[in-house]
Amino acid sequence: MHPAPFAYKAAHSVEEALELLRSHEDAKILAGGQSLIPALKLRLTQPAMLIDISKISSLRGIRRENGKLIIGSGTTHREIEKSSLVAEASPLLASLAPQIGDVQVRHRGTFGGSLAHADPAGDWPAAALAVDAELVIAGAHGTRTVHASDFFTGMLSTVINADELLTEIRVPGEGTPGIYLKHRNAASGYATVGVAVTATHNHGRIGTVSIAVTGATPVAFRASAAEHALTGHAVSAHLLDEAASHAADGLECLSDIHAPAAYRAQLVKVMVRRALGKLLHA
Amino acid sequence: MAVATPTRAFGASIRRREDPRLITGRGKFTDDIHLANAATAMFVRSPHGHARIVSIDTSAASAHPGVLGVYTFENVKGFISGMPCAWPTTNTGDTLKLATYPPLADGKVRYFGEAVALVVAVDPNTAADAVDLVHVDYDPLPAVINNEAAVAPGAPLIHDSAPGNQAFRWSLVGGDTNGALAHADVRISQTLVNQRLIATPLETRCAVADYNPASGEVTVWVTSQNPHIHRLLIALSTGIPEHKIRVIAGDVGGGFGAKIPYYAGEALCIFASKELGVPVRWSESRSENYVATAHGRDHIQHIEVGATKEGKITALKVTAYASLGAYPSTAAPGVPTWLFGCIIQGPYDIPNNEVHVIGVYTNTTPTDAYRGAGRPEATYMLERVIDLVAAKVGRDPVEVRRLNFVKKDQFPFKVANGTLTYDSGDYELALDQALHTVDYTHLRAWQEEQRAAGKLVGIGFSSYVEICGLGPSSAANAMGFAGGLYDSATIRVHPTGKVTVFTGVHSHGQGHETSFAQIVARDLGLKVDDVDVIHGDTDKVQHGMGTYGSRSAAVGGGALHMAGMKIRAKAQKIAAHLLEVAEEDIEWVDDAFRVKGSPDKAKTIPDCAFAAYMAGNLPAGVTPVLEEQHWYDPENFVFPFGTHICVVEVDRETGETHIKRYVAIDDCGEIINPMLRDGQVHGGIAQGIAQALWEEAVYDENGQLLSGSLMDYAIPKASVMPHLELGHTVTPSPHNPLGVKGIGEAGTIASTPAVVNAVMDALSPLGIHHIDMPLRPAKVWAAIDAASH
Amino acid sequence: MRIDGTFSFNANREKVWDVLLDPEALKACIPGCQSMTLTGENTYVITLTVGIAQFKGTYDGNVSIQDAHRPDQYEIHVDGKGRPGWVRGVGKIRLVDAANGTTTVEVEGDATIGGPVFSIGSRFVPPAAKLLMGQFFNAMKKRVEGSAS
Ligand SMILES: Cc1cc2nc3c(=O)[nH]c(=O)nc-3n(C[C@H](O)[C@H](O)[C@H](O)COP(=O)(O)OP(=O)(O)OC[C@H]3O[C@@H](n4cnc5c(N)ncnc54)[C@H](O)[C@@H]3O)c2cc1C
Repeated sequence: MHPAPFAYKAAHSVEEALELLRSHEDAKILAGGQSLIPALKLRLTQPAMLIDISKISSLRGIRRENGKLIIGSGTTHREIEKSSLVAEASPLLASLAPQIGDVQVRHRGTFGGSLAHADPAGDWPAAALAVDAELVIAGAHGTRTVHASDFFTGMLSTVINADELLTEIRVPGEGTPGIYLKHRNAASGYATVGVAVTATHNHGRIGTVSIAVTGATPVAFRASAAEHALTGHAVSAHLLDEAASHAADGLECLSDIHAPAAYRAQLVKVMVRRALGKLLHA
Repeated sequence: MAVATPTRAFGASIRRREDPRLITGRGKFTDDIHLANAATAMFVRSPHGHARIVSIDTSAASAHPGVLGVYTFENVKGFISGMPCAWPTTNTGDTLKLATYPPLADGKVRYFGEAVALVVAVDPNTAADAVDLVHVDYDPLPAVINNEAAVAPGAPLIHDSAPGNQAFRWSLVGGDTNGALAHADVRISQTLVNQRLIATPLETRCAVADYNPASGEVTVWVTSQNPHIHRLLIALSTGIPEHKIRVIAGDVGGGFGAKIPYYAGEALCIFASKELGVPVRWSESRSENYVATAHGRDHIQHIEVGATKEGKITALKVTAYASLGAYPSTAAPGVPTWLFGCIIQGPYDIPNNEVHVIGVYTNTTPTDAYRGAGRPEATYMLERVIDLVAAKVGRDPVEVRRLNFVKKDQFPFKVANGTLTYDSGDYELALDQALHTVDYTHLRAWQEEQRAAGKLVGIGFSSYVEICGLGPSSAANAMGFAGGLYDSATIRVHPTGKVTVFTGVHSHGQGHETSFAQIVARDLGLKVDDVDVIHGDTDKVQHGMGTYGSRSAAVGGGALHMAGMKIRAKAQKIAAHLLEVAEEDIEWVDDAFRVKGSPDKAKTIPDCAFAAYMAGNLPAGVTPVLEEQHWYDPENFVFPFGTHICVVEVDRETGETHIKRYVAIDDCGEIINPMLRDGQVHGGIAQGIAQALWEEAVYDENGQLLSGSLMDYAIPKASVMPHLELGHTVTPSPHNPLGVKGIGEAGTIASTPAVVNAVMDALSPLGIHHIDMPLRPAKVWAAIDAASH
Repeated sequence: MRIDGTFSFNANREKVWDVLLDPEALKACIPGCQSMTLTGENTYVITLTVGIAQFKGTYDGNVSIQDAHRPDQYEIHVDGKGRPGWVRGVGKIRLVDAANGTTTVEVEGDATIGGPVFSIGSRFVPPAAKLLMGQFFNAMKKRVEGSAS
């Protein structure tokens, strides 16, 4: 459990981090280290250099701007969990944060690190998809903004290029009811399946619904067919049953020693149903 | 002199005196030993479950800067050619085939993670780099993982010396089982898998060896539960004279049986230190611990039961295929045989029973004792059997237990196969207390309501008796254990009356520094804080056998009490002399020797100690100094027992098990420290629940360990533990002077079947009668899904 | 571990066959292929640096094409090892005529994987294998269809 040799440099600004990325071959960003350090120790990854961004204060913090929550990529899970702003503006994020790992992990691991890592069993990707977060990526030629739906390209893969940095995440902040339900792997505590759901309803009619699922497949996804089946309809237990029962249609689920594909598909259906039930009281 | 106030040390919930040290980072674990110039050892390990080694190229690693040496079997075999097995179990006729267990792979690897080469370098990073530079060319062979497949015709042969991969056949027979089966009203056949587990002590294994070429002495710091056994095995296997070896097992962070064995990693640190002339340290990573440290359990059991219509079991026949893994570890052959087979009828009066054990080699990490060792395998089997019988005859499992129990007037009770005589017990009392605690009648009524509402709720029982306090030596020798099972104590009362105790047993989490001080404080009328307990250093402590099999209190505590009584006997002579009365005229009352009829005339142990060290005013024939030693060999084992009840709800849609209530009534005889007792029960239950629900070492068919880290091997977390309702009955053991029975393993033994029985009770309305452990949600859901189609 | 897949090519079977088995195409399309040398009939020694995202490892091994019946089917045998572990596998590949002169390539793979990384990260391996297979055939598809036009 000793990493291969690497150089280390702490950056103190986004510009410095980008400059280091540009000027060093095979450099990697180090945020909370909760995914990267284990991989280094196992020598699964052997970068020549680590650029520590945890000391860049501008990457850290939560604020509200034009009805949106702006969360710095270096904000820790714990900071999100404890934020009254988040609790008010995004019940979904507030419900998810305390379900990540344990307190120690949450104190170190970051929102941005988790999204950039794109672990198939990670929790945040589901929330980012469900709230249609905008991810701001800084690079040599300024910044670009990517919607969550375009951000994840596959297992452990995103659109962030090797010389880029995820700087902040923008989340709608009008307090839309939302919830994250997680079936924890008994060993790792990661999501066997996790579902992030937001829904509004008015006079017994469903307004907007978003349903995103992590853990079930190599990359988190939105259950669009189920969303369509619900949007605009009158709330009823039957409707929710029906929509949830198709939430896993056509999925090619992951399989491991804990949970074969068929079980993951079952969890998707059950958990989508339960999340909808909690939000829509049916 | 003032008379000490009574301390009531024994039986009090005194806080663990070792904790301030351990929880503030001031403990001294093996990995905390930093010697000047120490080099780091690391191992190149097999990526295959079974393969022929075509070649090993160490040249690049050897040439790497900072590497001190790279060694293969050829280099080390002159120092140590094989790891000794200390329990070549008896009762195997001529079937015992103990395969050679080389310290590094000899021409072939037989399990995933087997050490192939040893690299020693100036520091850990260099060693890790060099490990990557050793090139081993393997020719993969088919592997065999399943215990029954291993002995089936045509299975890949693991050792030429063990045809058919059979390590031994072992049997115990009591009564006429076949006859009773033939006449039984009801018969049940069932196969049960007791899965392979990984002990996962918080502290992985570690060794530091410092060989002194000038004196020929070696000091070995090692994570051991039994430092004297380690010293003996090091001497026997390497030829270093025993008196030149000092083994120190200071603070040890959990053992659970996996730190009983003597391992190659430890031996090879000594080899390398001798070879290189510097101290050599080795410290396992967690994923290394998962392949290099002994696993536990791993049985497949075929069971045949015969019973009357009322559910009285008349016959029990068990055939168990038990895996030793790829090589015979230190105590391995004794675990699935004597520690399993003797107790096959548990707390029940089953007049006809047979147990046949086939020990097998498979391409897996060697197994050895794991918390409970043999007894959980028997208890789980028996408790599942009781519930299956109850279901078959349509009776409440409580009544079937009651019907089959050994009754309290049957003690001492000899089991049908004649191997054991249970000391004392009142099994119904513990059962009744557990029923009372859960309010059984209401609980069943509640279950009916819940079921009517569509919920899957279940109530599970587990009644057990276990064999603890391993000794006596005569029994151990008869079972083939290459050592005595006595234990030892030295009590040194210093001139001021403060006391240092040296015990031959070992604490690796149990809290001996507290509980043993309580024993001595009571016996000598002292405060607990005036007694310090030393263990784990063969140069400080007289020969002792260490800790496993819940033996510390019964055997080590017994030795301590006997030594205390020797102190008292000598001190009494001195007290009488100082009080100027005849010895018969004083008595030990309220922590002092007092003159009969005038209790204010008194001398305490410190008074006597001072006189003993001043030594000028001692009675005739009494030697100076107050220090005594005792080796205690118990007359029999002790037999703790109890009943646990678990209430669960199973989520019909996800297969998840939620424990609603957990009640444990245990009888471990006299209780030295209720808080420590509770701690042992808590930890034990956590491990037992984990076997029922979560833990499993999973190999694929090629012998790859798929649960190779904590990402995939599910140890219990505090956050998922239910509230535990603990209670006890006290039936003192007549077999040792303290009346204690041992509690280290009870929780583990009892809880596994209680949980599984509860889940099966919950699923019984669906017609599901058995699912093998662990009851992972996916597996339970699949069974529910299949049952409802 | 089973790795199955179906890929459609906009070309006839002979054409697809010729590209799939062309050493140059193989070298260009095998993900992470560093070098590939012919050592015997239809047998190559190969060095790959493959993985997912940053988790890459270098493997040395042998690839051989066996039981080839142009343009119907062939088997590809792979055997490699590297620091992260080892792999042995056989892929049975069938070329089936499909509508409008296109070809469907059906892959039935069976691989055995082992080593330290598999033991700690087995959850990533099957999806990674599938992903790499997809990368391979998509690259081939580009080549086939590119040269067809
Ligand atoms: C014991 C344990 C339990 C855990 N349990 C869970 C769980 O239940 N659910 C869950 O979702 N996660 C879990 N995690 C993972 C945890 O949430 C990590 O914090 C997270 O996945 C990665 O965030 P990090 O800040 O630690 O990133 P790092 O580990 O530092 O980096 C991860 C990757 O992202 C890249 N990266 C990081 N920040 C940026 C950035 N701003 N821009 C571009 N690239 C970047 C790095 O280069 C690296 O490749 C657990 C981790 C541990 C150790």
